[in-house]
Amino acid sequence: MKKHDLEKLVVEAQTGNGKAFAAVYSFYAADLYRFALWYTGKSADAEDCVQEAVLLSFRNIASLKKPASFHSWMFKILANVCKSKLLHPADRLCSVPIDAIPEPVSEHSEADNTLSAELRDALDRLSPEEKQIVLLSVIGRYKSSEIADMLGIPSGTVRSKLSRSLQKLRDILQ
Amino acid sequence: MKNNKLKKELSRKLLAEEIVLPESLSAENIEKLIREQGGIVNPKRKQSGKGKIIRLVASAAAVIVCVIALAAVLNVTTGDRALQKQNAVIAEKTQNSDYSKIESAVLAKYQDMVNSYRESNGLFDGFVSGSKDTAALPESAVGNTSSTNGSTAAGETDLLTEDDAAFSQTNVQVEGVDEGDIIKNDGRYLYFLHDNLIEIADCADPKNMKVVSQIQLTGSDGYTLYANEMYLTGSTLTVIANQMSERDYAYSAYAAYDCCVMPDYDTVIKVYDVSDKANPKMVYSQLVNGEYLSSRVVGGKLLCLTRYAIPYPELEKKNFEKNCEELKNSCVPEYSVNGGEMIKIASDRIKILDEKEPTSYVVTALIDLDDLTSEPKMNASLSDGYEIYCTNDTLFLASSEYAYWTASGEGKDYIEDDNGRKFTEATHIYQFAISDEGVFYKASATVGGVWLNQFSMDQYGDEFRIATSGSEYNGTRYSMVYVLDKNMKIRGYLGGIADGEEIYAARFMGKTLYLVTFYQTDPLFVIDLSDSKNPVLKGELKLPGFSSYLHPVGENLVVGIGVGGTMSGTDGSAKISLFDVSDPCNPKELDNYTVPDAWFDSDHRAFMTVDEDTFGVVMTNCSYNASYEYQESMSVILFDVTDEGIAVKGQYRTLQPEGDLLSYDCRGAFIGDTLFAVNGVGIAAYNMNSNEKLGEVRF
Repeated sequence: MKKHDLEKLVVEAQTGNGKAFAAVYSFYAADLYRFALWYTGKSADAEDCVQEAVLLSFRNIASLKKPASFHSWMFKILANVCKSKLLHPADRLCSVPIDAIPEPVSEHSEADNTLSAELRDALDRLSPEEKQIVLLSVIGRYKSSEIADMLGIPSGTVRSKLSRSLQKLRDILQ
Repeated sequence: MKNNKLKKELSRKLLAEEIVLPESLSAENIEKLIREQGGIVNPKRKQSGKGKIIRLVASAAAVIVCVIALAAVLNVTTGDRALQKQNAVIAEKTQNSDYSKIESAVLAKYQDMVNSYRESNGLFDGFVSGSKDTAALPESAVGNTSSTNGSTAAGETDLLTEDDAAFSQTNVQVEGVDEGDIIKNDGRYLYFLHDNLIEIADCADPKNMKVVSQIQLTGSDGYTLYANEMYLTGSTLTVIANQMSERDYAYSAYAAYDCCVMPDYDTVIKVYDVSDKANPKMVYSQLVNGEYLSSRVVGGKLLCLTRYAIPYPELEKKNFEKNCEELKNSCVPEYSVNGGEMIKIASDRIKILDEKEPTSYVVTALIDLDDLTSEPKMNASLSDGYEIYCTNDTLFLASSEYAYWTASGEGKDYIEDDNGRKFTEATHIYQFAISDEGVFYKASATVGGVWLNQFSMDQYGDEFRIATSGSEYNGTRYSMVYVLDKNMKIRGYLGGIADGEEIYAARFMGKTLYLVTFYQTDPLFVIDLSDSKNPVLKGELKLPGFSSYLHPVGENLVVGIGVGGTMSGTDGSAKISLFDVSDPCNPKELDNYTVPDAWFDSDHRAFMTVDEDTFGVVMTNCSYNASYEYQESMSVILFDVTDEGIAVKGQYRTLQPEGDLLSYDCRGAFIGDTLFAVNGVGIAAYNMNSNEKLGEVRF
């Protein structure tokens, strides 16, 4: 798909066209799921995160001023949803009291992707924010200034956290 | 260094794991999910198709009228071809246009789209299927009046400068070939385009600048215009804009989403006489079907390109036969002059380049700005196209193609360049000759990889060169350069440059190509093209950050405008590099000027040449204030280049907007010793030597 056409699909999605949105989503689906999977470590949680992020994204897509920025905007939403999930596993992103929400059923989806335990454990050593930064940098391939923008933190902080995180992961990477 | 390696290793590990997208996250299920729970907030308005029916009726009526008129002239019935041929010599000015080849190609493609949609969506009730042959419409008989070129009197140069003060001009790629921009300068007045307004400001006295007039650009039928750029030729100001059309076209991403339709645009060209700056008058306008692609001014003529998407109907629309008829009526691009009726481009001026996958046309309009009473020369090619490189007599159009697989199993694994090398992405280059009669196709070539921007292409003597980045089929991604002869045959090739990286900047200077690629660091490559059959990599310089725009200074120096960094990546700083390329095997960075938390506008038109050693760039500073709020401010930076290094002359701020709105359209300009920093808020004037602010005017 040409970048030009991808932008046009985003513009079309902004009018409420669900099909157009789904077409744009399909282009990024694999990367989004991969990010969520590495972040949460569990297939079922990753699915939940992607679904929630995608719903939020569609709901608010009309507010996106630059269609060309859809990619980073989508990842930003996903990164925040994932972080939220990790910190408050029972929460859903809607205003319902925690007690009223039934425990999410951890279904085994057909695609039960099991990740290398070693790598997963290593990532779990990182703080939620460090994990976001590492995955945005490595899977999303964003520059630190872009990550800074997405997470609302200074780019110097991004660089130093990335550096510290890579050092923490050093023993499994060498 | 260490972190760089760690990151590469982590990337390898994370991306190596085989991951299957779960069914719940398939595009189909997601679409279902948003339909059930979606609820988009404040959706943007769609353009209505209210005018469509009126236009269809009008165009059908126009066809009938033309046929009747022609029949009257030729004294034949529409079915009598033999007599038509005999009498053709009488009607020498009116040529029969035959669109049957185009129409059948387009209808065949529509049939394919419908078939593959139905296959992937099961039975579709109410869908009336039809055969490829539809009812024959009377042959369109739109005449192509071959007009002789009007007078070629050179436009008056209306410079009101009282002395010979030098003034800024658009930084163009090819000397003598003008490019459009949001700012133009005639040595006294500045013309600035922003937010669909053109401001004409008298800057003769920088302490007392005045906006003498404003042109508000509006579209027809209440549609908004999206103005792109302007040209100033003597006392004529030309503006080119996009306007939403009433056409939609079915977008075919994957077979399951063939229902997607998107709106197409028309391009509007408006020409104003600005001999009286306080009272600009529109003297010519033209509408051309298709979204604005690019333009140039060569030899007093405006060459404007648009891309017309064939309006394949939304595949869910039933009534196949009706759809076919509508499609047949709109499968050829049209144009109108000065608000007149829409005219189809003559079939003998349409070159069919892609019969199997007819998705779009690239339309060229050649308008003589010195004689606006003459008819524009219109041509089109049935092909795709996104970028141009233009000399004063040749146009090169580049179009990208990506190998892909759709959900329904159509596609290709690779694309071959003209020498049989396989790539997953490729560029088709089409060559056209520009003459007074119009823009006519000559030859084409397919090369591997995809170009970055217009500077990736160059003509030198009778050779054409292009630098691209791409992935070999079953191989790695790298950069490469091709040299083609005047018939577009590959003469030379060098590949395998910078494995795993992307081109970030390219500049051809005579026999040398300077290439900047980047992943973590920026190697600057120097490639020798003096033996066109054997391009050779001469030298490489690894350094942090990367350049986005390269500018030659004299014989031995190259200025690079871009981004700074460390050896593990960029660091959010803006950088100007000065490269010494006197020894091609050993390029060196002589000096650099770095500004943290900033970036330079990488558009080549934001780069300004003041004199042979002094240049200007537009900089945006970003910073966080005490409460972590993000702020931006824009300024023009002037710097001198010497054999020793870069010396910054000054930083000249643009006017700050009130409130939160930041005006991103920003340029520097100069007249004599006065520097102007211009944006959508207004003009700030400075003395270039003392850096003292002289005055300002707000729009």
